[in-house]
Amino acid sequence: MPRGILAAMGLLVVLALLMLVFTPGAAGSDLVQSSGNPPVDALAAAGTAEWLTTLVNYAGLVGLVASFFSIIYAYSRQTFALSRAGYLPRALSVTNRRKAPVLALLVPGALGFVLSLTGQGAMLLNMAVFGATVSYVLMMVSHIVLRRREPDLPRPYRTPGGTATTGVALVLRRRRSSRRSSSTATRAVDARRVRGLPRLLRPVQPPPPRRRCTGGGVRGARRCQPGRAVTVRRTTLAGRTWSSPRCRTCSPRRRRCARATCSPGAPPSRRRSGWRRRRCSPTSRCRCSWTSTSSPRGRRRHPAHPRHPRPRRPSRRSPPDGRRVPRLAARRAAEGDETAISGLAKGLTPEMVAATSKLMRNADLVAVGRRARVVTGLRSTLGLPGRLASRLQPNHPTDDAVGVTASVLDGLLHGCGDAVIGINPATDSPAQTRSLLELLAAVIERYEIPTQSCVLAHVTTTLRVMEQGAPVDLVFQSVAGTEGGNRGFGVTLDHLAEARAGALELGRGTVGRNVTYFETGQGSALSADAHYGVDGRPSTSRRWSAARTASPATSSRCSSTPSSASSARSTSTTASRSSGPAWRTTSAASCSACRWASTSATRTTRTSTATTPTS
Amino acid sequence: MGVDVCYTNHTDVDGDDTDVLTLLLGAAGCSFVIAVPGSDDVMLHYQSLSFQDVLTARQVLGLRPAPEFESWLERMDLLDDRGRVRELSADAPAARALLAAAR
Repeated sequence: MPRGILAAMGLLVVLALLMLVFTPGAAGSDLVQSSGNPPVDALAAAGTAEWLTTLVNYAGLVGLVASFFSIIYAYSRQTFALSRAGYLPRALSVTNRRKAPVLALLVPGALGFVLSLTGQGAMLLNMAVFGATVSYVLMMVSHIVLRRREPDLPRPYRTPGGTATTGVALVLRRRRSSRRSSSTATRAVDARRVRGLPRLLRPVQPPPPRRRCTGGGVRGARRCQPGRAVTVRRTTLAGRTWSSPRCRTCSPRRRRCARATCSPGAPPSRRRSGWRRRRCSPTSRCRCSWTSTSSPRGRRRHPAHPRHPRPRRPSRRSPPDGRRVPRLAARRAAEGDETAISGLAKGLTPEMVAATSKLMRNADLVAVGRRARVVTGLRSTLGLPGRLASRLQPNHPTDDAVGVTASVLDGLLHGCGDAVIGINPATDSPAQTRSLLELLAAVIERYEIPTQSCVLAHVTTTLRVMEQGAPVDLVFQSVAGTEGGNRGFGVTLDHLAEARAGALELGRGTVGRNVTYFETGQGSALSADAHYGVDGRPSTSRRWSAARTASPATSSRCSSTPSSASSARSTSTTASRSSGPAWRTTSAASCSACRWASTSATRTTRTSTATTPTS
Repeated sequence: MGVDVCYTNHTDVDGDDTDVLTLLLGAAGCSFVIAVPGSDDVMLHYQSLSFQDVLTARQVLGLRPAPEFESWLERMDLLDDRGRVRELSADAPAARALLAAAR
């Protein structure tokens, strides 16, 4: 506890004791009992000089004014907080230029002023004290309820003595409030209501039973000592109570379900006995993945939740046809030549690709991905069989030229940088973008390196520096799978087409004419709240459609091979920040242009990673 | 199409996961991966692959750099007889030639 509070409380106790002893001592208990201002009356009775009496009187007044200040502070901030939380009108939390909650100060102040005009000062004071007492009582009750309902919750502060302390305080408070309410002023507020407060305690469940931990948990989770007694966690959901058979140590860490559709924002942390896992991986803890086996109506599915669509229920005995067919097709494609896929490409929508890839296992994805080759190039050729290129990413926190150059040389000496030397600039300013572009161009020209450079600024910034004559090899842009997502990025297909045309005009290629670099993944549609409830995978597949539309075919080989490079960030960063599902988007060998592009969104677990087939 | 095999530090992912993914991608014929010095991107604050990881994937899976770039590496004397990136000392001619740019 802060020392200031302790010191203030100590001082208060000392002063109160002094007052208790000295005022009756000086003036006699009869006078003090009926006095409205005991210290002043005591001084007057003891025959002190008048100036001292006046001084003490004013000192008392100053103290009163000081407490008014704290009351004003408290009511305004409380009003502000209640308004922010939605319990009071929104306008009450508006602040002025200096961040003061003006309306929260003025409105309750005006209410108080109007009430003071009623002339019922004593009653108002009693009501205020009664209200404060009730709030204290509720605090004590809340503490007891919290300790019983959530005994394992991590706490920054523990009440000395625990619920015993609050219990005693509660009883004292109640007695006090009952006595208060017996005064004439507050008789209007029935004291029986206060006695009814224990009803609030009724929802409190009995302490959870002690059980033995079943141990285990998922791979990678810490194990507790087998058989250790644990507090079984309980939670009430959809009208039923679920309990966890494992202790906190054994329970797997909180993870988001891999299914983009099922868990925006839901921390799927609890394992519920009586629910059997159906869909999700052994490590995700999502409500959608459980089906009830203990419902009153017998086995049934989890009640539909708007954000948790019911998963389809696969039969356990034989895999449904839906699973067999795509895998067969995948095998056939893997055995045949790559035109089997390329020829199909134009007939496949992003949704078809997303759905099919979801039914495929990693091996299927690898097998098909190998057959879906897309060869592109500007000054180096990418996508040839037996080749693995790399983007050298010499990012620097301050875009420092020497730092960037050092990273570039480090990469070149390690044989990296053949796909592109691409910098994510720290700032998106045209000047910075231009100086980085010139730096990279200088290195590439000096050593005649057959690669391309890119500064991953916004496409509009790139357009601007291109007009100023900067050496732009690849035009970069992050793209989303929905129009709303692209709006979130601040791009339209027109921007992309314009930038591509501009870069082509510069004619900086030697082996090819692929001048765009698109980045996908990262759950950007979700972050921009433009995913329309659509799963992450079709959304990702659509990004390539957007890319293809932006960069129509320039090569004669594939029906469309628009961009020299496109990459998917493998772990979503923005998505997890925005409390979306943390999936990892991976893809392999995709033609950014063909519809047949897809990614597979897999859970960020230790075991599963996936690659993707594409054309 | 390439992939940035990366993760942010608040996810439950480590180097083993990126290794698995890199090898799967290499097997699937991914065009390129992204690499940063020391696998730590000091600007974006996330972990990606290191240059050495790319070399590992190429060696393990028998893959080679882009053809034009490969011949440039040869020209710069950065490859050994078996086509692998050569280990360089600080005073090697290739290193010196490249490091001249940093001065």
